[in-house]
Amino acid sequence: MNDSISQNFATDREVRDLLMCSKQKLSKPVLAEIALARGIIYSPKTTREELVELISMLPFDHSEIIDLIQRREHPRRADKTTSIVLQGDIAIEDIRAVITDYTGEVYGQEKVTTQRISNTVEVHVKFDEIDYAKNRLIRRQSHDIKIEFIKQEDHTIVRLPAIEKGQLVVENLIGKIESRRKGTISTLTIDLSQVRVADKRTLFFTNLISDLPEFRLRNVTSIRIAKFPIENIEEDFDLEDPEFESETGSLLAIVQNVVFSGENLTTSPEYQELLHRGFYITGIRWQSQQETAPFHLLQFEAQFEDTENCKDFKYDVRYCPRSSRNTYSMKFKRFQNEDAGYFLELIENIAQENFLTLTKTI
Amino acid sequence: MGENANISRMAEILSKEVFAEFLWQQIGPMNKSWQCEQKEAHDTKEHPSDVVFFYDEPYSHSRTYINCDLKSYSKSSITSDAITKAAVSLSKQIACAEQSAEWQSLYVHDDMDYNVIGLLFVYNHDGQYEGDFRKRLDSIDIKDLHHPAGSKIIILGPEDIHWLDNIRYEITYMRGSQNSDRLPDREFYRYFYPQLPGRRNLQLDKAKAATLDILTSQYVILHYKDPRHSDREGVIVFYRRADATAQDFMYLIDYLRLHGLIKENITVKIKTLHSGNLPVEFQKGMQQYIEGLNDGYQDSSPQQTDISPLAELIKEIKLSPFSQVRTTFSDIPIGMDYE
Repeated sequence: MNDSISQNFATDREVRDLLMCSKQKLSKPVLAEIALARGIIYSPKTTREELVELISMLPFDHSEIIDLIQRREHPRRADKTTSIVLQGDIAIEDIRAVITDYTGEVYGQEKVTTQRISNTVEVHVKFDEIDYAKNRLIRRQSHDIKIEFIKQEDHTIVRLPAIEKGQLVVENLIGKIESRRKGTISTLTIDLSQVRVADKRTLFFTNLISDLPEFRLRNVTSIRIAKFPIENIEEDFDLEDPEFESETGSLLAIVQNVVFSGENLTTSPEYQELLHRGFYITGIRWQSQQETAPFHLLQFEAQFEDTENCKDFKYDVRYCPRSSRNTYSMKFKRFQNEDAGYFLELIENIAQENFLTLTKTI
Repeated sequence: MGENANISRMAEILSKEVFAEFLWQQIGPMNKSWQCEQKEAHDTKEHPSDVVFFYDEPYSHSRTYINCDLKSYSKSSITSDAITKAAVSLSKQIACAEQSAEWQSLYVHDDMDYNVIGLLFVYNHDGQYEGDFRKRLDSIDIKDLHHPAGSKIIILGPEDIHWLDNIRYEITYMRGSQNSDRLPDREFYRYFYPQLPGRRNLQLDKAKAATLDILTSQYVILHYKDPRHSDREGVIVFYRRADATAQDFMYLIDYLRLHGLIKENITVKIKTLHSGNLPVEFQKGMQQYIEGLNDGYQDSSPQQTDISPLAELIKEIKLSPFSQVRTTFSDIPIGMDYE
């Protein structure tokens, strides 16, 4: 980023576009703060648009332009996680070797760093996405993704961010491992596309929230649903459909009631009615309390990106620490680095067990 | 000497020495009080104008009048509370000045489009203040301010004043120099405003003064014509950033190039108040910038080296630190009371 900016002075128009384009990150108070850093206080009656015009006419040096760019950049919204299980015994040396090959392959475009921690090989891939349709101060978005290869006895779990670039890098690396081993590797991913029954798809999620060991389910705060076409009549699949919204609310209420009352979901007549109409859960967010120290309240999320086929499973976990008064602020934050691994592994294990059980009976 | 006399003396020094060098002009009486137009809302009968300056705006057909509130504080008096109170008071002054026939008759020329801005000048008279003055501004709640739409107030703290005073001193020193770096008299120089793609430079000939937008930025660029050689010009860039990197200098060079200031007949000098690592960063930045220019450049003549004429001109740019001075504008507290 810095080279292209430092070689080319930014015009007032470019600065104006930069300031104008992000109303949230460069709000009126933030613009006022930028001016105040120079000792300038515009009238409180100045609108945001007027502030943008006024500030864009000020001279900025390179460091100040970089500061403006960084103020606009959205810290990348935390990506959800997904995983692939590579069957068979793959040597850590093979994994490291293909990462080295990949590093050479993308030299100059991506920056790849590797770290081995015990049975895990951690790969960081830094890259930029550039949208040439935008002016040069706002066209670049930097990313840093982490991919983990976790070696187990007879398989390897590959944990990655659930974004296209993560998938592409992992596919590339798996291809290289296969070439190196001169044979294909069978993989396992959570995919319910063959499960064409609404209640089984829903069961996948209800089991997931109730089967977590060492946790007590506290609440289900949101669900996403989809619907099978009934009697071969194709229906529009639209999450914005108000009628559909109503079914989402109904199913969430039913699931919450089950959580609080401990009743069996399948005995609920309202649930049976929604099942009959082809509705099933495609995503869920729930809170579970840790039953052992440090007694965090965890907020889990699990969902299928492809809701129609229940493919592309992804998940996330955040936590809210227990206060000294044994209460929770309900402000959930992300775990730092390896702490998340334990909880992500819990979801991965339960999801896999559920998936295998459900698909076994097809 | 009483407070009024001290304000007058400080205003006099600022007028004749500091802001005169930035081509500001003083107008009307110094240290003058005038009737408040919103006595109930402002909770005062009068507002002060310690000194009023004016300059023409480069990017609009208008004249800006700067109503100054001069403060001279000891280190311990430069508090968030004191600065906030002073800012609120100045904001009221500006709100009234725009409406006051009395103020306008004292300070505004006839038949001019104009705007009024406030300048809060916070001088540290014991020279002991080393804190981050900008942090003192954080407590100002913009909702408490009164200055009208289109107006603004500027707050210059001890470090800003030190910076501007040193530019002033360097210009004066260079004007008196007998060497090749001698600056011509004021009539031969002006402060530089780039043509902005988003705004025409509307008063290129008329607007010569350094506006507060320029004086509060990292670059103050003085552009002069050599009266002895009509085709020779010079540019002096006063660059404030103490921790400037090679990239900062590359960007500055590109700024000068883009605005037509790197030419055969123009001498370019960059002046910094700090030395430290800046010469090294400047050299790196200049070399990297030239490397970027020379990418793909091949002169067709075999006698020539593979360097562009522009690169040769860039190599001529000199960076030098200028000596630090500290002027005494006041040796006692001024402006500790608020109406």
